[in-house]
Amino acid sequence: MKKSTCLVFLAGSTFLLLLSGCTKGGQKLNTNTAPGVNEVLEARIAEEEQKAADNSESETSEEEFTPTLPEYEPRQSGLNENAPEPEEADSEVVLSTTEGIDVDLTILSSTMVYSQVYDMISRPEDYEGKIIRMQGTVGSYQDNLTGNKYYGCIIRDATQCCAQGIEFVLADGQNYPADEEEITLTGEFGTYMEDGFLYCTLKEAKLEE
Amino acid sequence: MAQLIYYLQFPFVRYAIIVGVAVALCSSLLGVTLVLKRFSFIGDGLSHVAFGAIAIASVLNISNNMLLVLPITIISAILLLRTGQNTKIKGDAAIAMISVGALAFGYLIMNIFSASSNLSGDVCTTLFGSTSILTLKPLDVWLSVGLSVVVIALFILFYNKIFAVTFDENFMKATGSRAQAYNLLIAVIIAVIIVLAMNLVGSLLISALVIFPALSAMRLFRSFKSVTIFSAVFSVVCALLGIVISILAGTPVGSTIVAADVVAFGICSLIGLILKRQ
Repeated sequence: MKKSTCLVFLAGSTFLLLLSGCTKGGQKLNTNTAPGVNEVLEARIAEEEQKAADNSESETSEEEFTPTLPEYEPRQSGLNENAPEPEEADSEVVLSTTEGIDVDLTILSSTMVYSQVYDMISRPEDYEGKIIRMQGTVGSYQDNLTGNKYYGCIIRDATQCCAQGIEFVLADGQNYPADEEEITLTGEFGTYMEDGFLYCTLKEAKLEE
Repeated sequence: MAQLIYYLQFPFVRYAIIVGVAVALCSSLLGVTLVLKRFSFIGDGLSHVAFGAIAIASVLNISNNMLLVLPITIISAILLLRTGQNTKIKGDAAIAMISVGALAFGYLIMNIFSASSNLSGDVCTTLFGSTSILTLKPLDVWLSVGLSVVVIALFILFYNKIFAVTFDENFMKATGSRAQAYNLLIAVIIAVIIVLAMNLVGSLLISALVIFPALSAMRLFRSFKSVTIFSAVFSVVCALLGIVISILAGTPVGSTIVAADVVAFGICSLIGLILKRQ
């Protein structure tokens, strides 16, 4: 594989990790849990070779691409069997004064938003199925190998040196906003596995005017 | 007030307040001793050592980095306090040397070996605390509270000895007391406090937690006991105020606590000046 391709892939993987930041077993975000670069690259190369052999799908342009999410599989399906069972008190997370919304991040100060998002991606099992409302800037990443495009709502901490985000998938019929655009959205918190990593996402998200 | 009550529903806010108060209390107790022994800057030096140790722990992928950071910081504290007066490199120079050396190597290690997706964020968090105090897990809280209780218990238990070794180490030696052993005890306690306080204010701002309460108390009181008690109250109030302001106003936690310390120091100095003139 060309060096430039490797670099692009590494940059993409890094962004994807930053975008979601979920780790198995609720480990800290800043802890390095990624597999070796060679392992990831080899897995990707094998995947691509298989695809080329099948010759099943043509390339998809960025404009035409509709983001798709891997099939949502709840924790009970065995994807994350090692994760500890959430405590009874924590599983009833309702941190909002707005009706129909379980966690409203838009009413929190920047320090609180950052900490709350950190809590959500550290303990995603406690927030599964909760309705989340958040405000932030749009960040997107397209995986050139799979063609998948991912959108995230990014928020920064008070020191402006750390950023965290949650991926979102809009409900049908909505257009995705441009990068760096300020948005407010509401969606159902969920998780999915991809390439051995657990990712967090807001499903069926709706953008507010 | 309603917003504060709402924020208190969040478990991580409650954890931050518990750990913040515990750490502030511990740091202020030993702060008086350190200031009087002319070791005000040791907190800065040791915190940079802890930064270097955190860098190593993150590269080695140690999930609970305290297991590595605490022993390294304790060894450094012992070396600084015990050998500082007897070697060719004197106390302040030794602290400066270890401080910048550990900081440089820590950042170098993080840069070369860390595969973290957010290196600048990691460094920023370690140096300034960022929102670390608001991202604590229950285990971190228990560990911090447990260590704080041990530190406070040791301080109360050895209060008279710490008082003696602070003011006249030579006299203490002459009376047959083991001054070196108590210096060692102080070094260990300082190291524990530094490691605990890194979560609260980050490694660059730790010295503020040690020196401001003691210096402020010294503006108003004269006896060791009253200075110690006031600095403990001062430190806890400022830490609480800093945490509450930072979560309400969305400012960085560590620097808000230190800013509260600075303002309170100014007020104490002013009151001290007025009392002196009367």
